[in-house]
Amino acid sequence: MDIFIDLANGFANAFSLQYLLFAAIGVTVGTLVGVLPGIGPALTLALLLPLTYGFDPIGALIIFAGIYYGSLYGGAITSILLNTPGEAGSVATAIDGYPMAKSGRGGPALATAVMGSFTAGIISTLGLTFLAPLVAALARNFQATDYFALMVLAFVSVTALVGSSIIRGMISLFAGLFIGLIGLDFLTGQQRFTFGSPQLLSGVDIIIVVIGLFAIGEALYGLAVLRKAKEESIALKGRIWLNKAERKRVWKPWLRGGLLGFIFGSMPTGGSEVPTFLSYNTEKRISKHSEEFGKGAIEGVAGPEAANNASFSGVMVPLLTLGIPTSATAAIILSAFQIYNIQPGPQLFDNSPELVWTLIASLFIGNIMLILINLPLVRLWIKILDIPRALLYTMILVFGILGVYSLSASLIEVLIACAIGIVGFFMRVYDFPVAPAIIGAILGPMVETQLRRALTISQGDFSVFFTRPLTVALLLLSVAILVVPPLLSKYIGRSSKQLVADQQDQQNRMSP
Amino acid sequence: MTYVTEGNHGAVPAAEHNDAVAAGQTRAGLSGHGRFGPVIAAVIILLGAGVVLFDAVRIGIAGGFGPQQPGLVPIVVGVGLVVLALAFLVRTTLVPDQDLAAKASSAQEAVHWRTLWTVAFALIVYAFALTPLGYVLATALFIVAATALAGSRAWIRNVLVGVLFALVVYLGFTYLLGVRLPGGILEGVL
Repeated sequence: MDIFIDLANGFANAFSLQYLLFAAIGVTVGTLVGVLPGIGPALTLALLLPLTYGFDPIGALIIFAGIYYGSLYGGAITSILLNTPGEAGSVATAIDGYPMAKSGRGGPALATAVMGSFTAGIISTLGLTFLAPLVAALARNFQATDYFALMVLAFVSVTALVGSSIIRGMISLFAGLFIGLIGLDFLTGQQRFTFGSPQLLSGVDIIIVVIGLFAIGEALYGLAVLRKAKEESIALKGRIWLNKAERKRVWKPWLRGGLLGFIFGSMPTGGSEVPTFLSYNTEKRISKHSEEFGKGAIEGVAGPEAANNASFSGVMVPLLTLGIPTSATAAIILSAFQIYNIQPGPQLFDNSPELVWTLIASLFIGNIMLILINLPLVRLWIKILDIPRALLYTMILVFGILGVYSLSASLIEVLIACAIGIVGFFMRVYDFPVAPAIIGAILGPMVETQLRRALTISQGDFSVFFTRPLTVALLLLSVAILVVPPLLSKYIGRSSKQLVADQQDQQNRMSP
Repeated sequence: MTYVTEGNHGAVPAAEHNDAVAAGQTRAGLSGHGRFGPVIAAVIILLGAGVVLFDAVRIGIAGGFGPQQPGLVPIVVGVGLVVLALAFLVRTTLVPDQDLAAKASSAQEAVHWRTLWTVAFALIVYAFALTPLGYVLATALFIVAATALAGSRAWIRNVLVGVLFALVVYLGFTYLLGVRLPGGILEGVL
């Protein structure tokens, strides 16, 4: 099989000292930002993006991917010990992880999370290894209309399946599309949405949008809720390992969660929220100990945490083979590709096999590194939770300004980032999802290109979108996702909200 | 050590820690902020959407709305934004979204508004001060000011972190990465 030869070549490259070092840096930084409350992978990559011009593309992507999946490992620590899940994917982990830590079983909870992440990471990277070349081969026959339909599908599913309201998700998406349109029209050179400002002629850099929405918005929110909030970190005692009875209970949830995470991650359904809650509900339904769920069932940590980690490799499938990001972090990795003038898509496997396979091999290596730096060193990572919050969020603001300033040294762009940051703050308060805005801003110009290319080929005839079976199928699927899964999303959304609410009620009762 | 209790962040910060009154209001969705905040947000979004639609029409008139012309996608985005903004306005007024009202009011209860506005103001002052004062001085001052505005009283620690961080970044960027940061009034010294 060609795949094995390709993968072996990838490993040969990935084992070079330089790439091993890059992978180690990536997963260490990733774990760090995963542990730090309020800092996620999307924000970290946005801040690091301007600093990667000096790296070769393979090295930069190994670091970026390492930060992405490393942060998923680190996020479990914060969820379990602080009950403050940093992102949607680790909310389900906190439901049973925090009660476990409260009752003195934080060690086994962390061990389950780390070892489950590892199991799922390996399963899903294997999935990526075998699925990605297949999808890439299929995608060679895709035409402009298919790409257009695929991106519409990505828009719709990211908006409809993530977050609680389709209207607010769509507003966020369309605001992103608007930002993507600012600048000169690529075909005619006409100014669009520049409002007479020469600064806007070249468009708004996506890094400014990401730093504004994630770094500045999140840090302002963190600082603003600081005075009224109290948090209780649970000290970790005893073994960080699993005993025989625990091992027996967790391995099946790991495998199920890993499969769910990979399958849902690789469809354009937007990341990890859906598979983690699906995994939690599945484990709760089929467990012999279902009465323990919500009070510290170890399966409730094992399944979702595995699903969360597996969704990463899933997300890499549409990103690498179709050039379509389905999470905010993937969108930033896509813009890193674009900085290097590499267009992910079916040709990537033909044109840059070295890059693809070295990256995939480094995912295996990185997961092994992560279990090594997480299990023995977990007590060290926990120390990071003691960083004073006021200082932490202030530093995020300073890094954000530094990131924008090092791009352009322009006061206007810094002020635009601040304005976007204040918008981002209010998006958090009024529960507007941030990811659709980022994906809209990055994919918007690509959608327009494919749309106009398709219409140029058909000489302005819109019927091309209704004659090709694949295009029609994808567009129908998009409509179905908008219309049908208000049912599905309501089921998942409501049950997850219900779970969080129940958990909070319980805690309110416990703590006077 | 007061570090750990200094703050909190997360997807579920508010409801947990609210006092009984606020929690009661949240459930009933009656909090004034919770009701009017989203309405104000909806009006602002609608105004912004109107500007986008207006400019999209202008683009289309100048360049054409046809399939290969620059106006097509802007008009779709402009109309979409206005329709969505109207839908959101309806959901905050005529057919209120109880779930949103509850979330918004608990989030608004959790926010200390004076901290938000003073820190945002300090951030903008910081942006304007970067060139005249120089990176090191402006950054150190901002770190001390923003931590103080957020309620931190560990002055010595904050000053130390601010000065050291600003110096390390300035020297690192200038000499290692070759990125020029403004020297300002310390230009000759560093």
